[in-house]
Amino acid sequence: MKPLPANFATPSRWPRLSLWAVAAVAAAGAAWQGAHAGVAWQHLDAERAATRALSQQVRLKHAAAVAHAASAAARAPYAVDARRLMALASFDAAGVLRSIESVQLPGAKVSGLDIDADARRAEIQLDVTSADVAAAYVQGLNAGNDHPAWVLVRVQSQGAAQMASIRAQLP
Amino acid sequence: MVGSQRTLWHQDVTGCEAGLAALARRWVDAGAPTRIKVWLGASLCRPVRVSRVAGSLSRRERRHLVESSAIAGSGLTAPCRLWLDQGVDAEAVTAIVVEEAVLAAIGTAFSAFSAFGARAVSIRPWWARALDAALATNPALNALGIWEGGALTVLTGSDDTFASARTQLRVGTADLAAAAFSRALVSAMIAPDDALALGLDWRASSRVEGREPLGFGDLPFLPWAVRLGEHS
Repeated sequence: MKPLPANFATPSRWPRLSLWAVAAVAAAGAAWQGAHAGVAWQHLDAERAATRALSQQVRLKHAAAVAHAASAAARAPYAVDARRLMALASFDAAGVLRSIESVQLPGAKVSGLDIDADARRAEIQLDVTSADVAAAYVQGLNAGNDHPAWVLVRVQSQGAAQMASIRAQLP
Repeated sequence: MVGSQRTLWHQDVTGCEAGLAALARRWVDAGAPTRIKVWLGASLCRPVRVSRVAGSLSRRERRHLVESSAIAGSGLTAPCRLWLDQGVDAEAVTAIVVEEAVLAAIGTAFSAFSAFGARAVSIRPWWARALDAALATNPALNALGIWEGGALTVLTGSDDTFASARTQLRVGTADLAAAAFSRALVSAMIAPDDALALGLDWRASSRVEGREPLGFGDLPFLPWAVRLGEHS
């Protein structure tokens, strides 16, 4: 994970004179940097070669560590079977069909449906007249749910018509 | 809920406008600050993980689909303002969604202070600030749960990527939040040692004797922040 520095505040409007002053300082700085860039470039080539060699070593060590960790984290087979049985027993296929039947939208026609109870996943193939219709169909499927499960994964043009794929990963 | 870091008070209110009105009444008591940081709860500002929509789409169409998917996934009401952690051409983006009506209400509330030179220098989700603090303490963290205002936000991932980001509403107590976070860890197959769950409990204080300090020195509302699971 990484920090998410979202900030929805409106930036303050600086006086125009301040902006010109900042631009002038930046231009002077750029000119000074340009004068020294030639010398720095020569040093940079040597540094790049050294960095490439070090990066190669780091990648090799990282790959070895990942392979070691993957082999150590293998789960017992019975745990996988039990989890799969629980997932199959609790999968609400009828609810998925009811969701699809409840959405009727002009310009959208269901052309295919794939339900994978094992993976708890459902996928709808849809003939749509535009990408907006596909997005509206997804909103219709998710209507009323606190945790919307359906997402639009593909919109593909086929001549005048468009085909959309909508997928749900059910809890 | 509204609060002030300097004078450390909180007040239960219902609705965004009522919260801003309560904050305005306390503005003078708080020393009439001119640089105000606004922290939003997850019921107003939520994270959503949006996968890339494949196909021959223009960049404009792709952005439109990412935005509509993020708003639909957040459960908030359009029009909304979005912040994306990377470009729409990425395989998946983490979006942070807030309703324009909420930002407009904040702008209206702060317009009364603008004559005194006061303005909102930042409007950020508190859970994002808690994420900053948690990562500063443990950069290898794989899951973070933040419960505040009856909403539980769960972020999972490793290195610089997120695997999931979602907010669960109507989580009434810290115990319910701790249980929901534990279930999320099991679903994502994350060890509890690699996870951290925090909450804002307005009845509690980290200064209470016997409670282990969080170690997040400058986290806003720190006196009310607790680790979930050791709450009760």
